[in-house]
Amino acid sequence: MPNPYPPRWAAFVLSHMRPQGDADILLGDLEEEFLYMVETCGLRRAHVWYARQALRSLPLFTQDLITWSLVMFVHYVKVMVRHLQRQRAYASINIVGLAMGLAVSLLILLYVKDELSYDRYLDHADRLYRVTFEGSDNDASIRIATTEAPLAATLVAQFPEVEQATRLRPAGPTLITDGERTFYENRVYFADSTVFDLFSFPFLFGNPQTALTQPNTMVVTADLAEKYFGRQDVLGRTVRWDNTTDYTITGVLENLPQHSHLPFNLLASMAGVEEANSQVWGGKAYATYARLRDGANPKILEAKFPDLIKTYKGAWLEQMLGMSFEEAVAAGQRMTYEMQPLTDIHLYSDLDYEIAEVSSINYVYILSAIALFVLLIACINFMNLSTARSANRAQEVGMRKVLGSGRSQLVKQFMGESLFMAILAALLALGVVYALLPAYGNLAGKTFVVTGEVLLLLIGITLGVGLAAGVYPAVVLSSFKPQAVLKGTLSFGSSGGRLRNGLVVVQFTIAIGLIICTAIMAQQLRFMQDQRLGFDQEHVVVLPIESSKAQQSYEAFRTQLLQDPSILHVAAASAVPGRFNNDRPFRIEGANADDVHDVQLVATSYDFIETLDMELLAGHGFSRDFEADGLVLNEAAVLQMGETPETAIGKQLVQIGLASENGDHFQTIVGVVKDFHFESLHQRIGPVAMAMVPKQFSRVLVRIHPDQVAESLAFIEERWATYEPGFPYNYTFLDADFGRLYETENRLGTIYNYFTAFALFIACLGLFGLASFMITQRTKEIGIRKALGATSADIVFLLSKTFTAQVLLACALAFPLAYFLMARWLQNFAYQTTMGIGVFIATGLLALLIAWMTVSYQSIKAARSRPVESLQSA
Amino acid sequence: MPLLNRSEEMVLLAVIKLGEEASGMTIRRYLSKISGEDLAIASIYRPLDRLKAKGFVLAIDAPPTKERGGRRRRFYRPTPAGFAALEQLRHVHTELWRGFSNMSFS
Repeated sequence: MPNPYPPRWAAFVLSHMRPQGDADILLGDLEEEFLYMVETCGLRRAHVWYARQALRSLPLFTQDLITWSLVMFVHYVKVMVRHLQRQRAYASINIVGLAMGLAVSLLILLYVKDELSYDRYLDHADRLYRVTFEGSDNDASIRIATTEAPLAATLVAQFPEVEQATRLRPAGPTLITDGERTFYENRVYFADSTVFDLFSFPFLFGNPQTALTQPNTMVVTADLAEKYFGRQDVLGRTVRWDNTTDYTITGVLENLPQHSHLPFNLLASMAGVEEANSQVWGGKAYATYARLRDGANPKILEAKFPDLIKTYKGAWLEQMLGMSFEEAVAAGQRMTYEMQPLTDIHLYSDLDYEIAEVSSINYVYILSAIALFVLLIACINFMNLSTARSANRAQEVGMRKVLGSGRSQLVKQFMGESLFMAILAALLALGVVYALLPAYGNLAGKTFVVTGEVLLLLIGITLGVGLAAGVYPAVVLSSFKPQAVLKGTLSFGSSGGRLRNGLVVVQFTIAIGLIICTAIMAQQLRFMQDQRLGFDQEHVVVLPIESSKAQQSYEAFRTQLLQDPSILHVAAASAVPGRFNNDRPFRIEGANADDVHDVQLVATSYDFIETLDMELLAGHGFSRDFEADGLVLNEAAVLQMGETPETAIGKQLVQIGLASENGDHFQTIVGVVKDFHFESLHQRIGPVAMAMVPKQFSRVLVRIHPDQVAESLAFIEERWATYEPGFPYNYTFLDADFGRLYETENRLGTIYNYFTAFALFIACLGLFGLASFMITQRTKEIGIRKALGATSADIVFLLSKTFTAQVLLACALAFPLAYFLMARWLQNFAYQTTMGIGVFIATGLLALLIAWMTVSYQSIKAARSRPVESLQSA
Repeated sequence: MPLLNRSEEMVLLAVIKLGEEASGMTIRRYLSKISGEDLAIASIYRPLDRLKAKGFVLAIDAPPTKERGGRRRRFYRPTPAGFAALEQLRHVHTELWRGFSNMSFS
């Protein structure tokens, strides 16, 4: 029978219990006894005995283990602290660089987390959807965020999986008056009473189920209540709406968290809006939201929508198009609704007529990418500097190995040091983040709070970075052969030199790439904003027309204004460029019955074209000399209908759905203007039609002379007092309004700039540390060269050569990458700027310059040192 | 000099008693027999470590043998310092127990 063995697990455990190194003695003793037991009591009893020995000895040995570990730990800490103190400069550069990388990542993390969490705070957020419209024919397709009035109720009635639906409709800037105080509120929406069934906004006062059931009632946020009444319990108070109606406050909500896609501060009851009860399936002015039953699949519901369209919208369509539904479908008309998850709206919504601002998931991607890159650069720094300093610890490693340290022990020691530095860096980063948080919040337009979750993530990132960046130096350091070290034949400074250089190149590639991309993105932004818009947006004051009295007395107001010589032109319209929101179906005479185009319809007064300085291509604008019942189209509209500007004049257009006593309402095209941008330059110019409908005027546009802005404004204000008494003089400038289309991008652009600058800074920090270290290593070499006759200039040149080569290589790598990336990104835009070679060259030069400056101080100092000194210290 | 504790005393006495054969295993067997308990190996090794650290015993390693599966064997010898410590302990013990010899504790 083969030699009996003690239980394997027990032996295994015991073998780890002797840090003193005499585990074999212990096991030997036990095994002798074990064999004796086997002979006297048998194998079973022996096994039991051995196991009991192991278990009973465990707690006792563990005490030793702990004490010993503590002692070793204290020793390693002492060694590390000593080491850090001796190399204070490099250690600080290392820690600061990593801290900056962590800080940047943390800031970006805060932003990204906020963006990704929009609307998730609502109950059942995963079952909430917005119903959007998608339509196409043979020419074009559109996707709209708003739908017809009767849709919401129909959904609830016809589809059991729809538990509840509600509608919201923007009310536009609304005048709210409480006794003395008057304010324009911009975030006002009409809502069905079911809105609180869907959206679990917390009520401070009032009953969610009844708050908006009655007409002329409204619900406000706590902030709004404070603003008007100085307190929050304002149930039952009344305010005046648009100077016409009294509304009662029936509810006060807690202020909305900032990550809501629809930041409102006032919800007014839809019950008071006549058109909301309409059963006509035309027009799309309502944002429809629905909650599905638990487990319901939105796709299945979507599949039923074409039938829904046929049943309900079919009748309306037939009336509009003058053909049967089947014929329309055969001719290529497609319409359906889509269920858009609520939580997708903020980042993924790409529709027309959003009722509030949306952001884009692309920004999240870009920022995350920047964070990763910055972190990568910081890690590379860390690794590089740690290995570069390794030469100083070679002797220590040699000694330890001689005295019996195992490889893994050494690796653990150095990894521990990396982790410790990473933790220090994390603490520093936290401090930086806290300090910058308010300013950063302003920049991003949000409020940021460092939550426990974020801290946890920071700990995770720190550990990850500390370990990852520590592995390489640890491995390198622990690989030193004791003989080589102690004999002095180990070549210092060149261990891993090639990899180190490679890493520097990677760092600079990333930094240069980031700079180029940011520069091009900024260029595109400026391009979009500087684009010739087709009209002159500068020095145009926009005033709101509030009351119908004002609408009627517009002409008089205009005459009064024009009395002042600084007022150049005055016109009125139903909307200003940037805020067109009224598309109607039109068909030109002679076209097929199904050849219907959606055209933006804007009501404008005489002189609109002159006021905005648009260019007429054919015909004439509305003028007092001509009949006022005609249409002025833009080029795009005319081309879409298959005409040219010249041939379009005199043709008739019919607006589908606009009935008059004589049947369809025909209008004559009297003029064609050159295309002008009325939306942001993300989109191609669509068709526009202008008509004179004074009852729809809601804005007065006043072009003033650029030199007398203050006086003109004062003059207008005086006249305004008689024109619209009781309404605040709330003017805006057209170019400011228009610029707000790019607000998010502008803001983000600034953020990108800062972070990219950080990336470059961190890379340079690394380069600085590395360079000064390498130069110190080469002191002897420099001394010899100088002794042999090299000048300071020669030395500087020699030292700079390596770094220059690295930067140039980085450029060579970064240029094509950045070009490719930016080319892809620019395709998102209908109007693209060109990527000139200037950007690339400038960035390359900038990188070179910064690299030189970073290295120069040390190089020059080294070059001017006296050879005697450097050679003597050998 | 602080006193030896109980286990150190027992182990040291065993080392002296066992003379040339004093190893971890033999000490354990001897003390187990006397005390009647099957002592855990750790309760021998730890006092031995402490005695070694204080210089009361000397550890002598023998080269590895085949019968122990190629492992070393360690023998222990008392040192003069160890004797001195025991003397001190005996003195204290005698003083403490003086006058108790005829008493019973019930």
